[in-house]
Amino acid sequence: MKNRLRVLRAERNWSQADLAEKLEVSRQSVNAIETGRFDPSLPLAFRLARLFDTTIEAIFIEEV
Amino acid sequence: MKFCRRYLSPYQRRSMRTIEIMMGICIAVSILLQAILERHHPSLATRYGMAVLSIAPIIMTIILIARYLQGEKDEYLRNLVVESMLWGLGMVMVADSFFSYVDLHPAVVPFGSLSMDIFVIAATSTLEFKLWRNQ
Repeated sequence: MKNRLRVLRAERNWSQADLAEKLEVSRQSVNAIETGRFDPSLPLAFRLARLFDTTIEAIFIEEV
Repeated sequence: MKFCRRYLSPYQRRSMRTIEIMMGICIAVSILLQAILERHHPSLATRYGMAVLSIAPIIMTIILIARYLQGEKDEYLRNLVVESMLWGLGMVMVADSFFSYVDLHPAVVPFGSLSMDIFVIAATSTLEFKLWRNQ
């Protein structure tokens, strides 16, 4: 699944490590999600949406 | 498994270290018991004792991994560990299938003595590779 995580993170000048710390996950997790290698669970997706003050649909783009 | 640990939490590092030690014990016990079997001819009762001794560290490893997975909050790492274990078990099955055709020959090392080594090598190398890829 594609996502806008890298863009949203860059807008806030956050490093992957910063985002990982805010989400309480490893930096590898952030990298795996950003590169589309790993799709987060719904609770983590909600945490991301809350953190970026947006909706899940605005972060993750469904590939049809 | 020290390769890509920089970004792991103390809980993850501690758990992986404990699991590694237990896997090392599994291999050491397996080598020791094989050596005893090759040099001596233990009685059936002793063989049962040795069999129990050989499975004890494997069960402990499973318990340690299960405890780690229960306490691991990072779903991606949880996923990686499960995937690595599956690769480890898968490679043991692959080797088992392969050796079942050749290990009747006296020149071939009995597969049973290598299964734990294959599991550890396959599981840890998968985990290391996946952690390295997402550095």
